[in-house]
Amino acid sequence: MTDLPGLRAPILAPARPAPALPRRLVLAAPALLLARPLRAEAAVLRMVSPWEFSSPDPVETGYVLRRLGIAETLVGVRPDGTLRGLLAESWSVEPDRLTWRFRLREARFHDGTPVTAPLVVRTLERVRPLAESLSAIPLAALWAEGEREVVFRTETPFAPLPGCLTDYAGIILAPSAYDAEGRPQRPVATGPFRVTALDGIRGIEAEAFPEYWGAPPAVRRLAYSAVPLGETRARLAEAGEADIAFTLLPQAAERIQASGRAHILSATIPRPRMIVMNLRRPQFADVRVRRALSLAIDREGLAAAILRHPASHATQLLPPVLSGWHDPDLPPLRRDPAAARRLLDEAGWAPGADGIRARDGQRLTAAMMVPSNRPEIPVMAQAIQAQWRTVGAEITVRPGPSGALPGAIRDGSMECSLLARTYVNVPDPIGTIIPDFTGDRQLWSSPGFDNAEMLDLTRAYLGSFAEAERAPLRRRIAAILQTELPVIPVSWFEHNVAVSPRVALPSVVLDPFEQDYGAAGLRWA
Amino acid sequence: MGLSLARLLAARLAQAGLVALVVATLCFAALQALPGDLALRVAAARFGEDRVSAAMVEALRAEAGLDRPVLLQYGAWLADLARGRFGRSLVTGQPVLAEVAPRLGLTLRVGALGLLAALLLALPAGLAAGRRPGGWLDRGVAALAALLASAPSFALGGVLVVLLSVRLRWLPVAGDATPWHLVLPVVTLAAALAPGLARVARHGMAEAHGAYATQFARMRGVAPWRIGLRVVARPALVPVVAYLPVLAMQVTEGFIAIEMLFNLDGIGQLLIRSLMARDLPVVAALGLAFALLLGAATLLAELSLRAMDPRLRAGGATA
Repeated sequence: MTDLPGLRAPILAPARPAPALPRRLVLAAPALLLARPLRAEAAVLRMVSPWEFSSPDPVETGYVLRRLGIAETLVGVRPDGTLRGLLAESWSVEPDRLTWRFRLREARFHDGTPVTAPLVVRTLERVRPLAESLSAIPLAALWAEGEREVVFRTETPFAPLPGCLTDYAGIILAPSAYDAEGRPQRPVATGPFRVTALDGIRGIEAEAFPEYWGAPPAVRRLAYSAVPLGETRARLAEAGEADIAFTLLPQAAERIQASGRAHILSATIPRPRMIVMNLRRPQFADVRVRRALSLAIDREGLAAAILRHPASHATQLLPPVLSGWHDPDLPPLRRDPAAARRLLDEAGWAPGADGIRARDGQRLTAAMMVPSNRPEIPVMAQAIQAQWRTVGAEITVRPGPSGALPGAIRDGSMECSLLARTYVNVPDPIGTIIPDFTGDRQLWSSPGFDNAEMLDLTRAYLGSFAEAERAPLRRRIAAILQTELPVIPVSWFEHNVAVSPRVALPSVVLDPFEQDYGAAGLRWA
Repeated sequence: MGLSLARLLAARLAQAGLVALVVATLCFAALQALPGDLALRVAAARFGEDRVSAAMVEALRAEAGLDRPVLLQYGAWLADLARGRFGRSLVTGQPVLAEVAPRLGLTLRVGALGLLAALLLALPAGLAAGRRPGGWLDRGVAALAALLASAPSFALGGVLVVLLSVRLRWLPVAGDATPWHLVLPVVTLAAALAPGLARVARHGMAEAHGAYATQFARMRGVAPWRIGLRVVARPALVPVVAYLPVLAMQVTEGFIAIEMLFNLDGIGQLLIRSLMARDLPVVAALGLAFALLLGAATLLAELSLRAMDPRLRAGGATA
C-alpha cells in the first residue's frame, strides 16, 4: 500500500476487510496465528470494477479517477445526456461561433491550492494531442483570461465543443501531481473524494474532501478494488465483500439476484453489439443483402437466451437512453426470414444445391471475426451463423483477439465481425459517428460506406448551435443508419451492478455514459 | 568434489545464459509473429480500445521505435538486454524492473507457501502409503491424488470460494490485503502440487523399503526407527528432491490461473496483461525470470542430490 504523505496520514483499515471468522473454523487455524483480528469497517464503501489504475497519466486511466469522484473535468454529463458544469460553472459561445468562454468556479485541489485558468490551459494543452475527443476540436487557440476564464477559439464553428471537454483525459490535476519533467505522478485532483493510499494498480483508498466546492458526500471513505475477472467480482458481491460491484455478466447478475444477498440494477448503455462488414466485398456491397441479413436475425431470441435480458434486443443502432439520437418513430429492426429470402432473390443471389446462395459465381459466404474478450459474443455469433444459414448465407465464426480487428479492417481482410462499440466516448455520439461512418480510416466500423448525404449531415451538425437545427439532422442521420445498415445492430448493452443491502438503493444512479459511479451521491441504508 | 562442483556450476551458468538468449529471442519472435499490429495492441492497452485512433497508433509506433526493421529492433533490444537494461513498459512507461519486482514478491510468497503446504500434505501421505504398497492407505492416497490431479485449479479454487467464502463466509474471496486472503490461493496451489508429489514420495518409499540394504538392516536387527531414519529416508527422498524442478514448473503454470481467480496482482497476471498488450520488454523480462527461476530450482535440486547421493559425487558426474 503506497501512502500519499502529502495528503494525509494513511488510513489504517484494510481496503478489503476480511469477513468475521467463527471459532469453528478449524481448517484455517494456523492462519489465525498470523492474522490480526479483522471485522467489517462500516464506514468504508467498498467498490469493485474491472478497471485497473495502471498509470497516473489521465490520458490513459483518467476514467478511473473520474468514475470514483476523485478527479473532474471542466464539463460533465448527467445520466439523461445533458451537460453540466463541473470545474466550469458556466460557458458561452460568442456571436462569431468560434470563441468559447468557460468560467471556472472557485475550486481547490486536494493539496489545498486553487484551480486557476492558466493551470487548466496547461493541462489541456498537454493532453490534447493524445485525447481522442479533445484532439477532434479544430482548435485555433487556447488561452487563459485572468484566473477564472478559459477561452477556446476554433477554426470552424464546432458546436460539440463543451461535450468534448467531458473527455476524461481532460481531468485537471494540481501542479503537485506532476514531476519535474511534467509527467503526472500522483492523483492530486479536485473531486469530492481525495486519494489517501494506492495499492499497486488495483487498489485505491479515498476519503471525502472537506474543501470540495459541491455538496459533501454522505459516504466519508471509500475503498476501490480493480478485479478484472467478472466471476470474482460477482463472488465478492455474493459474499458481502463489495458494497457495489460493477460490470457483471448477465448469468452472474441473475444468480446474485436469486441469492437475495445483493440487489441487481441494470442500465442500458450506448455500446451496441453489432455486425460490421466490409462493404467493398460483393457479399455486403448491396444494401438489399444487408437488409436481408438483418431480417434473418432473431434479436429477441438472442437477447432472451444468451443475454438474459429480452429488452436489450436492438431495434435501431442507438438505445432509447440517447433520447436525441434514438428515434422512436423509425420502423424497428425485426425478424422476417421470408422477407429476407425475397430480398436476396431480388438482389440476384440464388440458392445453390447446398442451400447457400450465389451470384455470378460468388457464394454468399464470409468469415466472421469474433473478438473473444467478451464471453457472450462468440456464442451470439454461433447463433447468428445458424440464423443466416436459414436464408442461404454461410459464415465461418473465427474467434480471436480483439486487437487483430482494427488491422484487418484497415487492410481490407476483415469480411465481417460481431463486436461491441461504444458511441459515447463523448456524450454526443457524433464523436463516434463521424469516424465510423464518414471517411475511410475506420478502426471499429464497416469500411467502404460512402454516403454523401451522411457527410453533409455530419458537417452541418458540427456547425449547428441551435437545438431546433440539430434535432432534424440527428433524426436524418439515425434514419440513414437504419435504412442503409452500414452496420447491423444486434443488441444493446446492459450494465449490471450489484448493490449490497448496506447501501440505500434509491441513492444509486447508474450512468449510461460510464463517466461517474455516483459515489458522491450514495447514502448508507 | 571442489573441481567437479565448480565445473557443474560453470556448466549450469552457461546453460542459463543460453536459455536466457533463447527465451528472449522466442519472446521477441512470438510477439512479432502474433496476428495483428503490435503498435495497435500497445496503443489499445494504453489508451483503451474504444479510443485508440490511427494517429495515436502511428505516434506510438514512432515513439517506441516499432517502425524500424524487425532485425534492427531485435539487435538493439538484445544489446540492451546484454547490458542489463530491461527498458520501460511500452504500455505504462514504467521501468520494467519496477513492474516485475513487486509482483514477483507476491507470486513467490504464494508459490513458496503453496509448495510448503503441498510438502506438508503430500510427503507424510506419500511416505506412509509407500510403507505398505497395495495396502488400504496406499489405495486411499492414490484415489485422493487422482481426484485432486483431475480437478483443474480454476475449478477447485472456484468450488472452495463458493463453499468457504460465499456460503460459509469463513475466508475472503479475493485479494491479498491480509494473510487470510492468501489461505485459499495457497490451498488451491497446494492441491495442484500435492498429487504428483505424493506419488513420487510413495514410489521412493516403496523402493527404499524393499531395497536390499533395508532388508539387510532388518536382518541385523536394527531398530525400525533407526532403519527409517538412516537407511530408508535418504533413498526415499532422492526422487522427491529430483522432482522439485517439476514442482517449480507446476507452480509457474499454476499461479496464472490462481492469480486470476483470486485477483492477486502477481507476475502471472502481469504476463497475461503484457501478452495481450504485446508489451515486449515486460514479456521478455518475465520470460527470463521464469527461465532463471526454473534454472535455479534445477540447480538447487542438483546440488541437493549431490549432497544426498554419494554416487553422484564419486564420479564427478553432473547427473
